[in-house]
Amino acid sequence: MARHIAIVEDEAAIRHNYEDALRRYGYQVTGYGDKHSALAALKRRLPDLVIIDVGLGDEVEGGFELCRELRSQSRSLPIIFLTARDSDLDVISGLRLGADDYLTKDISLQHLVARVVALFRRVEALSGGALDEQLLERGPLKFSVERMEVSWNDKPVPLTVTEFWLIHSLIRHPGYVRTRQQLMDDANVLVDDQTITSHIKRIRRKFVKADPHFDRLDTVYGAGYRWKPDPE
Amino acid sequence: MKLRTKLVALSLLTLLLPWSAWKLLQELERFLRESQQDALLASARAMASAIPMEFSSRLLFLPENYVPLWALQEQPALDGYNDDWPGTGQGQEFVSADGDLLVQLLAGNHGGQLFVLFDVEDRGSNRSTSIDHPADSIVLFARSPRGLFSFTISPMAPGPIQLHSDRENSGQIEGYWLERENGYRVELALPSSVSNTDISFQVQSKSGTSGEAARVAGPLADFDQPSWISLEAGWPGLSRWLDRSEIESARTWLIDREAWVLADSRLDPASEGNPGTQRTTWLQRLLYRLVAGSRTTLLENWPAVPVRLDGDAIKRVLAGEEVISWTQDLDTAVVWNTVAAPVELQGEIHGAIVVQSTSDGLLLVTNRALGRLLFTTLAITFGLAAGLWYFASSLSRRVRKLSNAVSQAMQDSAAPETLPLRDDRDELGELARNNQKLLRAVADYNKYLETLASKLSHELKTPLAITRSSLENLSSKGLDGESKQFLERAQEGVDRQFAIVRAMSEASRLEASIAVAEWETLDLGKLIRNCVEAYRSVHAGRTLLAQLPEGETPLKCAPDLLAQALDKLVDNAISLSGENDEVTVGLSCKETHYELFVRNTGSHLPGELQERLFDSLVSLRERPGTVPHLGLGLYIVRLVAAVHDGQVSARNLPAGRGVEFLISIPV
Repeated sequence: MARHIAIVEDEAAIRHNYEDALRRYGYQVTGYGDKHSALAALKRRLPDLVIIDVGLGDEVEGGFELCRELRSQSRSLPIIFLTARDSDLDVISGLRLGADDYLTKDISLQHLVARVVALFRRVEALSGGALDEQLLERGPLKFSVERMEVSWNDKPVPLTVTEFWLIHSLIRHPGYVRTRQQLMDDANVLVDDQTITSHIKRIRRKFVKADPHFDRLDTVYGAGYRWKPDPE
Repeated sequence: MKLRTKLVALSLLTLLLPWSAWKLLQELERFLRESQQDALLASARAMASAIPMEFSSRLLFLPENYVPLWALQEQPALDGYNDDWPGTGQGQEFVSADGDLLVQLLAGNHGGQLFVLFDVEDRGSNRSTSIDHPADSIVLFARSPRGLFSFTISPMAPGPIQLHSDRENSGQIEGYWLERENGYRVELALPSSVSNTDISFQVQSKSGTSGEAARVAGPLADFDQPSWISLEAGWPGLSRWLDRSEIESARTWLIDREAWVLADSRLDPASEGNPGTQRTTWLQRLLYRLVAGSRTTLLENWPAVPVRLDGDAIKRVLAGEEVISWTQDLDTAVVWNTVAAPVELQGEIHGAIVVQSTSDGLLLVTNRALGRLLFTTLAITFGLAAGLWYFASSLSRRVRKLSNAVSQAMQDSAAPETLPLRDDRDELGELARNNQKLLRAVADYNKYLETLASKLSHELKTPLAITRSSLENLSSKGLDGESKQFLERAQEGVDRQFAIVRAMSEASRLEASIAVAEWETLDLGKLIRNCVEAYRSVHAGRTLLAQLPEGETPLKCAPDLLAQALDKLVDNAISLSGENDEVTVGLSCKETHYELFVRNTGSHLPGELQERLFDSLVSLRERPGTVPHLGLGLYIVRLVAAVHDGQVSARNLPAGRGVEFLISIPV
């Protein structure tokens, strides 16, 4: 049975385009133009994944409220935020609404689909328990590619899909500097340096929350970032 | 000219006050003067026409030839000196034919005895007194009811004289012969009674040894028919009359046609003090001369007891004119007002009344008035000037303060709310308030410009997303080759538009990231070195130099932001210069701040807009590049510098060596 994706987006043209694109990939898609109709429909039957625009019509932060409502119904429902405003990214992280990823609207459809696929993969891995689990270990860091799970000193670090790929790109070659462009390519996002910087900052914050002495994620000014190798 | 100087110059106008006061005082003084002289002249006129009959008839029938006989206060010492005689140098004059022999005759009486003084000046001969042949002699005739006497005074030597008349029983006279320079003086005491005596004399001067009279002077030309000189005794009655009719503090004389003084109202000159004894300071006298200068001549000093009046005024009054004159004694500051009215009897002028009045009061009144006026007006002037100076100073200080604040606000975009004088109620306050409005409008406009880009980018993002997602959907429909080509071109265009939109919102995202920037203390030099190495790998093929100081350069900063600013400056330098130009990134340590600079050769800043270079949406690029340029890069640099309390500047390096952008950050 096809997975059901709900799109909540006030801009009809964008919504239809996204619906069409996702349908092309075999998903069952329902679009909603405002918070109330979405909430009413989604309460009856939860979809498998929700894509929410932050600004819904006149409600500048209607998407956040919707996310909170949905999260209260299901802890595991994958949620992707879409936003036109860059500043929203920081708001989202500040609110810790539990979204699984957030993307700006200039993302291409391929990238969007890649995100959706990745999220479903993670959900599957979590519920089904994949057999041939590929596990990367970098000292205290345990990195499950299949499950898209990361833990530090056996404490789970809740990373979004984008963040997960960024870390993945960095730890593949510890000690080597990855430029922002490389990181962007690896994480399948097309954003500017500034956004990469704030992503890295958020990742660092999440690790620091697990371990106050975390200092592996190193900024090489002017160049990019690197994962400091384990002290021998 | 500054405001202050202008106002003080204006205050000099108040100097017109003392000037007009001075003019006014001159008027006042003239008025006082005129009233005084008119009163004086009127009384002189009245006196001239009211001379009592007994005196007027005497005046009518004055003898042809006469010498006034002075009532001497003391008996003169017979010593040949004339200092105990009044009217020295004013006696009747007799001159020889050639004019070289000059005789002055004075006569006086005291205690019933007659005194005569001959003052002889002999300029003609080389005088020498010879004992054998006396060169000079005086022949004197005296006629009185007692008879006719004649004396010949021809002493062998100067000294006391005692001689008898040429005739028998004529009595004897005593005298004194005193030699003086160019002449001699003979003082005689005649025995005759005072009244009704006429005299005649001849002064002879013999030059050489011939024994003949070379030059003679005197009325006695013919010894047989002498022409007599009457000795007119003073007219004490008239003097008393004058004294009675005298005006206060005035002195009156009656003079005859020859200007001899016939009567003097001051009968006893010694008893009255000098009217001008009141001394005045030089300043007061100077002030008075300031007021009255042009109308008062300095005093021609008349002797205390004049025998004969002279001077221009006397000549004019004896010609029948009424005369007024003002004189001033510089030492005593006494002002003399002299008026003279002719005495007309039977249609002819027979003399004149001369009235002289002293006016201490006039001087004092004007002096005091002028002094006070000058003091007051000068004080007012200075007070006014000081007041205006203060006012102008405070005014110009306020204006300067306001103008400084305005230019400060324009430079640093400081808040216009900080303008001074906003609460003042005068025009300057209004100006400040209007300036504040203007600055606020400018600041709002700047703010609008700064946010315009991010607002625009936000608004553009949604339609762009629609376009892009539509194109992507379209591309998944099996299109033919040509349509695919168009689609690719359209997608390319959309990508570029997205790039533009991202660049536009960069500044606002930077502002957001400033708020969450992480601050740490690190070695600035090391940071720059890392960055330069990274730039070298990015811009391979370009010459990138680093100029870093020795040693540690610690700074508490937001390295992310600094690196970003440096990115912008280096991007700027790379894109503005040619392939073969050098780009230098450097750091220099000053005492109070670090100077982080990026230089590049091969470009030049245009003169205009240099100050606004770091503003939002200002681009000075002359050649359009392939990458869209919005003029936000240097604005971001400025924002980063401002976060570090630093400043940015740009300049052309001397000798056309390129351009330097500088960030100075305080330590």
